[in-house]
Amino acid sequence: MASQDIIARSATTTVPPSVRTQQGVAKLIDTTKCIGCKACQVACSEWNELRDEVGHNHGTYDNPQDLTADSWTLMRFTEHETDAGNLEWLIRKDGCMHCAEPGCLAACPSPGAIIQHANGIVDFDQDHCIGVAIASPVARSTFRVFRRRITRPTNARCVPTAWRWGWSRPA
Amino acid sequence: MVQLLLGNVGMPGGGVNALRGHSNIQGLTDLGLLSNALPGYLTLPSDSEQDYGQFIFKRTQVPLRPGQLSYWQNYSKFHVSLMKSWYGANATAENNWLFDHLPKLDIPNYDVLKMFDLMSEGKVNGYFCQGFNPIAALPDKNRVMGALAKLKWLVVMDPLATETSEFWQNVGPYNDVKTAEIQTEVIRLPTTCFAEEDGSLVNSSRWLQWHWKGADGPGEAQTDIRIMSELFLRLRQRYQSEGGKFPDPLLKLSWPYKIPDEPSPEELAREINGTAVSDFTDASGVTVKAGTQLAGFGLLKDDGSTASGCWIFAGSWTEAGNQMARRDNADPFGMHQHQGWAWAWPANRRILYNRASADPAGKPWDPKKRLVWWNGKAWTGTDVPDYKADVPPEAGMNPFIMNPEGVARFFAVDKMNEGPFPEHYEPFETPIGINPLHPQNKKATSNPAARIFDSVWETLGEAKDFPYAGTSYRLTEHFHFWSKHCKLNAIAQPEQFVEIGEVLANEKGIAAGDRVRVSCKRGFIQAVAVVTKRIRPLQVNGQVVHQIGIPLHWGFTGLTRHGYLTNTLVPFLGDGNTQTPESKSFLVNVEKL
Repeated sequence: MASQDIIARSATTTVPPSVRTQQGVAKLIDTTKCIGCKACQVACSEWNELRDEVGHNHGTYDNPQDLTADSWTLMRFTEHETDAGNLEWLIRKDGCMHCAEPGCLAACPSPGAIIQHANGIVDFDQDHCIGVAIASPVARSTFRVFRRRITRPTNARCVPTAWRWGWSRPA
Repeated sequence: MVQLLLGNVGMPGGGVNALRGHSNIQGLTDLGLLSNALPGYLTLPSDSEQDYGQFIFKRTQVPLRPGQLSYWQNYSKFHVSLMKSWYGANATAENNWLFDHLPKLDIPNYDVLKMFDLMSEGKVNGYFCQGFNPIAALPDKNRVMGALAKLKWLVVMDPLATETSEFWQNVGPYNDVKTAEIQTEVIRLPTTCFAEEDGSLVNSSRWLQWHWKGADGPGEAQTDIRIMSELFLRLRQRYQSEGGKFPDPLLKLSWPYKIPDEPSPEELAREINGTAVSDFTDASGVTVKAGTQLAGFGLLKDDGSTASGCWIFAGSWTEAGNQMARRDNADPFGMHQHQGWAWAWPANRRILYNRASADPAGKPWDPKKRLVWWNGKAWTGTDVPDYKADVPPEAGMNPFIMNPEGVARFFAVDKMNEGPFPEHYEPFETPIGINPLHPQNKKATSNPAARIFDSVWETLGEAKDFPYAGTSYRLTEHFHFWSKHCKLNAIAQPEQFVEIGEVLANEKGIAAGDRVRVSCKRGFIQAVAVVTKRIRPLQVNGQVVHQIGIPLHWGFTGLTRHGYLTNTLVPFLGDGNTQTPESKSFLVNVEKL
């Protein structure tokens, strides 16, 4: 089913026909409402059965320090002073952005390792991955996420994949 | 006081909502788990109250103004029903419902501050910590640890290996004790946690919400009910076989449970609600049969015909079943009250003093915020009226029915220890040294009615040595000292840090990520510095005051990196009324390591 809804594949010039018109999906994260509690970060790890290392504090609230093979969602905190002198604590949710034009997909040399579905979801097919891990700066974090999965296969699935399969529990 | 002045008390969306530190701390207070309390905000007698009649008379508040309800005039009904619940047939009118079996307090209360002070003096042999981690939660960790080391035995009932149960272990700088010198025998009794048992939790809106067991506890963990019951049965057996000085309060307890060493949460909840002990007739002339689950506290009697373990919970488990387990989220009046969801004490009222939402004539002040009104014959409304249902508005009964005067209190002659009105006092460790409201009066710098033991004065520091205002707080990633035992929380905030404002950090040459030592007269902690724009220097009384923010979640057990217990820095003293320690304001110094 899934292969028929792919609209773009890495290192592939021909595109399989998409037989169905799908409603596009997108994540909307309203950062003006975010309090930086990291519940989504923890939920992502729970859903995907990921446990990163217990790290260190490096002088910020960000933990872990960056996206890793075991941390697919990460809150980043920035203190910003506006020209008017007001302080804004900017909190951003980092992770795969499911870009409309995915840099990782463009850079990947292995046919079909990174795919884009008709509904907009960008996914990874580890059967086609050759572990090159070349990536544009844009795609770097996404690649880091995916790279280790070929050496450490798990049953974990990206959350949007689960949605597509009709599971209802959001993470 | 401000809410009263604004007319917000008794109104939907108004009132005072306590943000309490644990999910069921309301339930703890309701059930009277304080050294001077009995369930349902009833109180223990003091040493001077040896006479049952006077004990009841003093607590039976008669109306101070004509036509007022003064609901506490029913005190004896609540008290007698409690004693019937505890002692069953053994409590009779002839023996004053076993009043002599209640302890009589020689001091106002034996709270944790008092107990640990007594412990420090070597006057306590053994101590039970049930779901309580005092070495982390109480002020002045080194003092608390010294006190624990003077115990002969310590029992810790907890789902986790807490710092308290491990206080005798040397954990390097984080708990630098001489283990060989500590003679306290520590017994850990692992308990289940809330998700591993049925029961109810009470939130700050006074809703009793039933919850169901999700999984068995791990290993040898037992429910608190099982542990306490076995302990009781073994103590009772020892008293029965060996006798004792005054075993009656234990021996005469009613213990009607089907499985004596593990009463079920359902049995206990039904008992707390209360039952008819013998047939009686209610106010409307209907006979209530013996054994009936009581529908509400209005049925309670002081003649021994009713039993209720906590009068305010009467109505939570009636003949219609477990009201706490209701999950109907319908909102027929559109007032966001959801009367069919769980059950709120008292009498499923969602908003206390809701008579105040209507004007003196009984008409809602605001039709969009209607709660109760007079329909010509009775009080009715979207909520259960917190009022006598058949008293017409013109009778002049006021909304504050628990007060003998019928009205709310902007000031109270005998309710606060430092005077009729609250006012500003400096913390005991003050960065500015004076109370700007009373600059000439040294005695009024800090609260003269505060709780401070003699031996604590020498542990207080001054601003010349410790110039910064330290304050402790929590993070969204953690819950107290529990969640550091969970891997995912530990990943999200793995290591202890303190927050320092940019201005002070620049002055001291501290960069984000440096390690710093935060010290006070009682000890020190070392942690990573988070340098932040969010903490700015304050101008107080003409001087610059820098604050140091100290998140409190780390310790020397669990899955986070080991850290120092934050309360090492907090002085061992309590507020003049609530006895709450002064954990939010103390003096520290900061040095880069």
